[in-house]
Amino acid sequence: MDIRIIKKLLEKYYEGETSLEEEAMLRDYFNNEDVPQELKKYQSQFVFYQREREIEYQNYDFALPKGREIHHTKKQLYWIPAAAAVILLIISIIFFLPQNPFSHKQSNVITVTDPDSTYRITEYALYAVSENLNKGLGKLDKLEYLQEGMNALNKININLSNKESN
Amino acid sequence: MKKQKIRILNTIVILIGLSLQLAYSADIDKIMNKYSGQDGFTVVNIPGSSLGYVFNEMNGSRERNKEDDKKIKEIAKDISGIKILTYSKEDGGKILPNAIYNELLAAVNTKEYSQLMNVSKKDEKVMMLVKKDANDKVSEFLMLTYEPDEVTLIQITGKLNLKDIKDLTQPKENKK
Repeated sequence: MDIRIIKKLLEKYYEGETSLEEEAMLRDYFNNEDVPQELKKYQSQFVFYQREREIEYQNYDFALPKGREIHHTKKQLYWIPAAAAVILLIISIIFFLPQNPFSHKQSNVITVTDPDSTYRITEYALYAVSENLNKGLGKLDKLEYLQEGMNALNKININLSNKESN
Repeated sequence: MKKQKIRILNTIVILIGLSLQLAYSADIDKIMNKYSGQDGFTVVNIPGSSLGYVFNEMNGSRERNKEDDKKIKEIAKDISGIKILTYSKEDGGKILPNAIYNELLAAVNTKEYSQLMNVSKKDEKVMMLVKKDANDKVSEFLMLTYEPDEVTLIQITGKLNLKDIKDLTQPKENKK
């Protein structure tokens, strides 16, 4: 190979601009061809790289993690519950929404937005609730009075019977 | 890995919670939608946006200055929605109101509510139910009433102070 090309490639290499193919060309050149004296200082580096690439480790002193398999299993785990949750939400929406989204029946609910009507209907609702609360509690009050009256009568009866026994 | 599992579980729990919440809050809406448009029924919905506009932005009503109106405003500013269903024979209802009352009572999932009051007389029935939030505050109020010619279902949602509502119609001399 032309030594000028190699020099240009070396310049690019040390500036970090070589492609993988160009780096392979450099490795190939320095490992297989007669290298001129002026480029000898670079040879040891590329020979070292080539040797390192050729080493195949087989007997490790430790167990290598099975990275890819674990990753794959993880991905599967994420999607199953996520899919189940989404399905559950969709079913809930279909079944529990006040109006079925697939139904063509129009709602006849009157939605009030006019301020005056809003005020009047709110007033009606609150007064209706208030009146019924008071009606119910009024009856409880009457029961309380009745109970108090009964207690007073009982006290009088007890006092009378005590006096009689004396 | 553990953290991711916890995250997944949290997501599922939140989604299930949302689904249940949706199911529960939709219960009354379902009833309202079912009967709306049927003979004798009128269903009115006041959304929170309308209430907010009238009672927070407009400060109640510009024309009203009475004491009771101030009370209504105080109560209504924390309400997030009102729904009213009425059934009346005068509006063309052909079914007996008593039957409608029982039907509505059966349709409400009363297990979700605490019973506040239940009056049952020949010509008058009132069932009041409340739902409370985590802080034990009333967050939903439901009232179903029966009179010989009319049945009314009122749902009020939001922060509710029942004492203030009760005081609206209580004569001053009886107030405790």
